[in-house]
Amino acid sequence: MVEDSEILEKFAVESTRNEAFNLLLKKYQQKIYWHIRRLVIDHDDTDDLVQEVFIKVWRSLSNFRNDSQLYTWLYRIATNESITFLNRKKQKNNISLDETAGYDLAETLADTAYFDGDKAQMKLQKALLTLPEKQRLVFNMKYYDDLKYEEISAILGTTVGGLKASFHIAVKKIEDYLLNSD
Amino acid sequence: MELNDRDIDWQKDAPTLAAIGKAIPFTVPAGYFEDLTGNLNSRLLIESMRSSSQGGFKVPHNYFGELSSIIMDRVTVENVRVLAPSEGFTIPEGYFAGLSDRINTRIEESSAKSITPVRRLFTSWVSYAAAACITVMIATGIYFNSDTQNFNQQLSEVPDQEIINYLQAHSTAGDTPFIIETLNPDGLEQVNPDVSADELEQYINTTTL
Repeated sequence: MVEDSEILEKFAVESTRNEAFNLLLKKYQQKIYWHIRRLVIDHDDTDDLVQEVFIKVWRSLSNFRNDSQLYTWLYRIATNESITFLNRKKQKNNISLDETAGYDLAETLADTAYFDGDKAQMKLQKALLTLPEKQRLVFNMKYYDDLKYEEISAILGTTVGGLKASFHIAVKKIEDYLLNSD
Repeated sequence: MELNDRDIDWQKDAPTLAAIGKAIPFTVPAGYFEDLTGNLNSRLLIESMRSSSQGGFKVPHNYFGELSSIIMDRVTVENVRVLAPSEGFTIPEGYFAGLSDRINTRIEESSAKSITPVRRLFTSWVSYAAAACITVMIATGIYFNSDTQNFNQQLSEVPDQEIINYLQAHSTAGDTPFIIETLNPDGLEQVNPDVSADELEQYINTTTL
């Protein structure tokens, strides 16, 4: 696996810039895709956001500072884009007079064609959708991506202690949901 | 905080969750990730063309360098126009507010001063017409007055017997009330008291229509 430092060095040179960006895409595109997919659930929305994220990365990578990890920077961009997308959907839902036209992630989960899990996994996803957005973010990055609290802290700008508390509360809520809901 | 310092072993706290496993239940369309790099590169190519290309158009040398100062100059000119619509001239405060009143006052004053007798075109013939009417009226009055006097004079010269004969021959039923009104009560005493009422009635019936 190519190192982030090598990608950045090649990107800094005009002649190897495209090669560097292809290396970056191959290394991170799936991680970024799944990070976004777990937040917005729908594949098509995820696909749009993945493209937006990497276009931003292309524009801003030359200004990237080496004092932070490249993948935490990518996660931060992806997280911000996803949260912005979800907030926009919520605002549309709030101003809509048609209640059935609202944006509901649970409905999206139920309607998505690209789901291959069993009942327990579907139940887990439903439980995750009952969490506040930040708890869901922390749980996803800790549970699915196995990121360290320090890394999550670098992405979200939250203290490690706060992240531990968020994850603990999220786990308790999910366990309760799994035990007590049908 | 105790909770924050504790790196919990969540698998013990949530055995149901731990039993589900970490497998991602979502899927993607077939070949999605194989095509993703190519799709992203295509999208980036479009984006870079969109940002760098201006559809073949060019601008003069240093156009954008000077554009901001040109726009700011225009803005300044527009601001001056808005602030000074009189093109630099100023007027006393409230000048236009009382202008119409002042003009009307001046007009009234000048009208009062310059009332001069104006000879009217119609004065002469109207006065002449009025004089003519008065003359005609006076003449008519004199004429009828003199004619009436002349008539009464001529009538007084007619003998009474002729008048009686005339009335007997030409009087009508409408003359009776007039004759009765103008009868002299003294004359009635001259009527022969031997005449009976029947003879009198017969006389009236034969002599009146």
